[in-house]
Amino acid sequence: MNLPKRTVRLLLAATVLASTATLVVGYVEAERTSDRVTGSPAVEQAFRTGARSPVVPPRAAMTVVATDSNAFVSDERAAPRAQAELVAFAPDGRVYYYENDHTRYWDVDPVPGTEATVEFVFADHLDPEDCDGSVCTRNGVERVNLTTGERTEVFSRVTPGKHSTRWHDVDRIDGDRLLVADIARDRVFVVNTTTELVTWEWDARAAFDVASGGPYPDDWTHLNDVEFVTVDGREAVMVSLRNQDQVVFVALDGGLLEGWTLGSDGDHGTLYEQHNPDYVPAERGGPALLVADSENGRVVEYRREDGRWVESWTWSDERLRWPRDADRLPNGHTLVTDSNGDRVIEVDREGEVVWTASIGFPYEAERLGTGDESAGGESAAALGLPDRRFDPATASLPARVAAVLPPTVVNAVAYLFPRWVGLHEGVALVALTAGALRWATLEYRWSDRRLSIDSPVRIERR
Amino acid sequence: MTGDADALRESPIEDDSIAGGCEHRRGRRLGGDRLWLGTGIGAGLLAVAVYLATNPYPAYGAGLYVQIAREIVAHGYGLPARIPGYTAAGVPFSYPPLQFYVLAVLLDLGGDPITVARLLPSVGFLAALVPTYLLARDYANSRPAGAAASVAVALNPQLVQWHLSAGGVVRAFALCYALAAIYAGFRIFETRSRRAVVAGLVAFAATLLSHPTYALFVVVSYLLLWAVRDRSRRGFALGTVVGLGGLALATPWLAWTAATHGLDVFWAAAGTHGGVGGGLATLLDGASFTLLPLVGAAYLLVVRRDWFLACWAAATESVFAQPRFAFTVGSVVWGVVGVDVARRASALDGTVPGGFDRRAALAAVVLVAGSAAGGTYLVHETTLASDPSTPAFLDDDAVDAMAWAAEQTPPDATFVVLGDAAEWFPALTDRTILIGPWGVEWRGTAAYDRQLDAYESVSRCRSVDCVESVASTVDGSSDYVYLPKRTYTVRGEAVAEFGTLERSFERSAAWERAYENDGVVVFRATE
Repeated sequence: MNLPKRTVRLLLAATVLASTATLVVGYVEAERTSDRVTGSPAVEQAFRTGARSPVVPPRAAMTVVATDSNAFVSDERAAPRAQAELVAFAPDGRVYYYENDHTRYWDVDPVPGTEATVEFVFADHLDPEDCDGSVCTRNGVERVNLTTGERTEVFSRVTPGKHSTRWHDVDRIDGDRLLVADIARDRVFVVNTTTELVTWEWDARAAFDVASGGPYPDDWTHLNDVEFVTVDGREAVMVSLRNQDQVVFVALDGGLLEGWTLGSDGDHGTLYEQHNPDYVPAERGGPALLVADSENGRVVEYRREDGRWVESWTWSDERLRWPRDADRLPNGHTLVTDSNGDRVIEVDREGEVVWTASIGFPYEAERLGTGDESAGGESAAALGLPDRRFDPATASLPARVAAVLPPTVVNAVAYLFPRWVGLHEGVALVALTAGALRWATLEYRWSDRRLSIDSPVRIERR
Repeated sequence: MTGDADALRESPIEDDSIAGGCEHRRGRRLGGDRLWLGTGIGAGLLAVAVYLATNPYPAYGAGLYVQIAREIVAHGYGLPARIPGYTAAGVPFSYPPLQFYVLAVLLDLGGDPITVARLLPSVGFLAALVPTYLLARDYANSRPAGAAASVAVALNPQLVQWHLSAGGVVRAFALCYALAAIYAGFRIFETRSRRAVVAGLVAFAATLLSHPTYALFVVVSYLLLWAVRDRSRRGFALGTVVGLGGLALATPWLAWTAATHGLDVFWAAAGTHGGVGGGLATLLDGASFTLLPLVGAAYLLVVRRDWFLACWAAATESVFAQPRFAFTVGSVVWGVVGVDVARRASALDGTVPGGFDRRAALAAVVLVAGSAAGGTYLVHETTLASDPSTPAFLDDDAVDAMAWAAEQTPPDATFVVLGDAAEWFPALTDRTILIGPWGVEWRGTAAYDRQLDAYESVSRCRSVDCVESVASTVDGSSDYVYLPKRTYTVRGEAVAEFGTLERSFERSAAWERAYENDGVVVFRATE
């Protein structure tokens, strides 16, 4: 069908105008309502308005959430997913504590013997003049009383670079000693915070080839979690090597506990760039490992059976994208931190989500009064938890599309994709791009001018 | 200046055409200055309406200015040496005094300080649109260019932010005087008009007596007008008459200040607020809207060889840390760009139904549509929860709390006030704040930085230990601490608060609750 030029122009102009208007309205509406987060914007709105009414459903105890930031060029972005925060929700669902002083927040742990005091790991990008002109980061641990705001600096060190050098986890061994997951130097060390002396160290190069995992030395292991554990009566250190897709157990003499490693490099069926594994000991139905299997988009638990790790429980739903923390609570529920799903959820023994706090880009969560991470919880096997897997066949179209794409692609898109772009805005974006391109091509074809590019360089024989 | 720009300069304003030298049939005249200037003023009224509708309290602060005006009245309209209430020692009074006298008269006549701070800036801002219009009109020889420049000034969020807000009691008038002086300068170097010299001299003196940065804007503009467009001895002499004449009119104040505080006070303040030359840092920050004036100026340099606008834009971008000067120049630049582009579009030759010139009709439509879009954007921005343009330092709860402080606390009571309400606190309570940077620039960069750091730190404290620790870095402990609840601003930036600091004070034996309403709680020291 050959339409007159004028009609074609009008149709294309209408397409460009309508799609632009849809995008502008979508963006402005999201900006006005702080709705740039997946799910309910109530929590993010409270962060802007200081509202003191409940924004999440009530729970028996306080929930503390540390959030990451997806800002990778500038630290100054104000979008909910770009704001790194430490947040506490009171039992009645109000925001009880809020701070966004640091560049990033990572691990957060309750301080034993206190009602509402936590220790958290932070990273601060420093100015070039504080880094000999280059880029560097102060990684550290702080303690804050969520009731009175009183804070204590516990320990910190400056590391070079920022993107893959920010410490993600520190585990307290006792009153003086911290176990640090030193992502910057692919090692784990114990430091006495009174003397500031390093008393024990394990370097991943002692057990792994630098050809494994990620690029060496920039982001080789992405060592993101440590835990001081007792295995078969021996003290050991559990270490999560994200880029090797493995959780290993290191004896205090520096050797790996044979047969205890979970996963192997590239075996994405077992683990795929996991975060925050929690060890559940034998006395609570283990040995078991509850792991946020991030790139696989699931929470998974493995249990020791006959000297091998056997998958004993898995959970996922349609919204779960890049989970980075899972804690088993004493009541048998599981507290899951869903980073790209923008939420912290509590999953009950039947696999139902019974509590949700929608919050931009969370990294880790703790329910106070339940012990550090999964310290008060039993294994899935002991609890008889049923598996729950997201079934793409019954899901929405975008979820079905995501299910057939490589998980790294889906998670990369979910990491960056602006949350204000919904179905309408997505269609408008496609229409705008196609309409503008088509219009430009037609105008060029209809015009009597032609573009040509001559090489400014000519080579001639002398 | 050469070529097309010269041609523009030499033609008188005969009608509203933006056709320049193009040969085409002229349409009917579409109004005169009344219509085109009215378009700019209309946009200004729209900005004022949006501001007043969305700001029941003035944006930002004018507490120190009110306090200065009251001291002027208290001194029988003489100049006070110090302004009490702002830090334990008070702050020296070295500001150019013209607008404080205007404020003093209004307050002396019974004006409510908050109402005056909310309404008075609009007068200066609307008045500033007149010289903006005239300058762009005469420069481009086009009334639509004048209208475009005045609309762009009226609806620029940065210019609204800095001139309609409370501080506009000084800055809006300084902008008006500065633009009047620059327009007079343009006329001086174009026509050698004696009336323009007198007008320029008076306007420059008024600028000098209102705000030093705007006075520097005038000086830079005059130097460029002469160096780029004139370069004659006669022009230099006339420009010097304006400069020295303005200085002479300001001499009584300058002499008083030098005698009272010494000349050092000026150098002390010059290094604060970004300092002269601070614009380079803004430029080096990378792409932003502040680069738009340079883009427009580059276009005019290429197509018209217009060196003046290029130099003017480059100078304001680099000399002034505050982008409002670049945006003011950019408004003129883009008015001229619009005219140039329209003149080159042959499709715009001819008339529209009714016989009006097609370019002029299009300009009118674009300006009205642009005003509507600009006004809509202002509404959007000023009604965001984090309102980046016109955040109010006060609300009903703050005013009630300050009324309590004025009535129920001893006259010599000292306060640490968290958040930007601190700026208004001494003016509305006649009590002293121990921490706050306002006016401290006149005590020198080190003192200013110390107070600014302390103010920003204490306003973000979440524990009583933090407040006491920060207070000890400046003037020691206070009798009262004023805490805002929910959201408040620190240097205009929104901060949300969820009761942590309040809980901390509640649990401290050194403090007791003295006053509370929905938005403020005040604690009193028990020792």
